[in-house]
Amino acid sequence: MSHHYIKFTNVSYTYPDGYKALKDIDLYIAHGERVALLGNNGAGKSTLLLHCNGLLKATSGEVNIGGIPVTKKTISDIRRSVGMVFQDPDDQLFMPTVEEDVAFGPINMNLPPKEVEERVFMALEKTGTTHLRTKSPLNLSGGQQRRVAIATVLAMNPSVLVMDEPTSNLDFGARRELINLLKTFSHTQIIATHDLGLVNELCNRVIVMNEGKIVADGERDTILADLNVLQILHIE
Amino acid sequence: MGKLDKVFQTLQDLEKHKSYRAFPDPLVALPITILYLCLLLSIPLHRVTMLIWMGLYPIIACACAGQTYGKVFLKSLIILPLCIFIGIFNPLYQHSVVATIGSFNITQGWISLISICIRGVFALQSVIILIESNGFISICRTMRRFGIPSFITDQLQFVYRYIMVILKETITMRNARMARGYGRKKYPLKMWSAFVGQLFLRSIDRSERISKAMSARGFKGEMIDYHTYISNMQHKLSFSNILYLLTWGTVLPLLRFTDLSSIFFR
Ligand SMILES: Nc1ncnc2c1ncn2[C@@H]1O[C@H](COP(=O)(O)OP(=O)(O)OP(=O)(O)O)[C@@H](O)[C@H]1O
Ligand SMILES: [Mg+2]
Repeated sequence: MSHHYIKFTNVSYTYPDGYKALKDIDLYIAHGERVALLGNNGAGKSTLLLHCNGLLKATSGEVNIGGIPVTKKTISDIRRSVGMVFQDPDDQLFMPTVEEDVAFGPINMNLPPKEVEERVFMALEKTGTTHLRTKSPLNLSGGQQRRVAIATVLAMNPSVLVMDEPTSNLDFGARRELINLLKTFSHTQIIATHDLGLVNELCNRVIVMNEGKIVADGERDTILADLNVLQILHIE
Repeated sequence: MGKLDKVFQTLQDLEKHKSYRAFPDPLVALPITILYLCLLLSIPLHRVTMLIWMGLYPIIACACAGQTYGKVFLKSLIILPLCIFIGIFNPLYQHSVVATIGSFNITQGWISLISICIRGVFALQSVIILIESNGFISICRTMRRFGIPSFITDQLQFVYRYIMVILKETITMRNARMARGYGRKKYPLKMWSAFVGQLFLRSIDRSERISKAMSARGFKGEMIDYHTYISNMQHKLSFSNILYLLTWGTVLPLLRFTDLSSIFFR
């Protein structure tokens, strides 16, 4: 299982309206690493994450997940191994009930019914959402929605977890619980965030983006002590 | 809570607690409702008494599904304006008198109008009962099992979800507008058109993100129901459901093709 790395080679992306959101991104994240992706609003974090499972296709350059280049042909395999938790849980949860939402991925993977049931059970247990099983995702609190969103992804048994601002809009308690939950995962993780507390607790490595480029990449304490980085992120 | 929030809640409630088998099972409720609609709509315009007998179905079906008939009745009145719009010219053109009550002549036109209204209300009631007890999504899935192609049933489900998305966006935008409107109630037309345009763009934006989330989880174009899937695609009807199907399957045609009034009120 040492092959679940993420590799970006020279990746650029231009949105259809002509905006260059990623410029020559080079990046390697090894198996089991937990990496924080920092950057101001509009720096291109979400855009970068969407490349990890082929939801956006690089205008130039190559994205490679564990030795498989992300292309039209490989996309369904890639999506099995890369679980994506979106910035807004409202986008992620679209089924009438929580359990149906969690089952959505495994069913699309054509797993045998017994296994689908086990996966749903496991994912709900792990995220502490079993009691919400029959509720509508639209009626949950922000923290609960976030947990369910993570459950929907865990049910697919991914080896890489990609999360976009997992702690935004959470109260202190919910944030605490979520961080503790993420600590228990052994997946390769990329977390785009503005939450420095989370970074300090979870990630040993930090990547900083600015205007579509990676401007710093390295060990957390070194990067977060770098005056240039602090200035870019407007941290005093 | 504003009107919009209420509509949103109602639509959403349609899907709440629907993950477990409802009674009657959609597999039974759907064909019975369709049978009812066909029989009801085929009653000739002047047979008002026969129409009234058909009113037994929504009342009893309501009780079986555990809904309150009063509420269903009130909701079904929504269709009256449409019925009146369709039937309003009948009293003006059909003058032949069919009955007199005191000094009041009842013409054929009035009978037609009333008949259209009753039929509309009953038809809507049966549909409301069907959807409220089973949920829209589950009805779509049942249609799929009756062999209606998935591109139609999936589209219907997506329309439902899309309506929810639009409503939610509308509520957000309305809240934003009210928060900054300082109690202002009237806005110029130009602002409304900007509002609608904005709403359209936002809804598209959100639908796009939802469809991204769906493909991220391996969606390949067909919605499959979790509960049917894990129960190994086997869906056995309980005895009470079969009884329900058989009972209505015989009673409804009886109501339609025999003249019950002449049997009971001879
Ligand atoms: N669909 C789109 N069409 C055109 N431009 C877009 C689109 N989505 C994002 N952008 C632009 O791309 C840039 C990067 O956006 P992105 O969402 O990746 O930023 P981000 O780093 O995730 O910001 P935030 O911290 O606010 O989430 C922004 O300048 C944004 O305006
Ligand atoms: Mg973002």
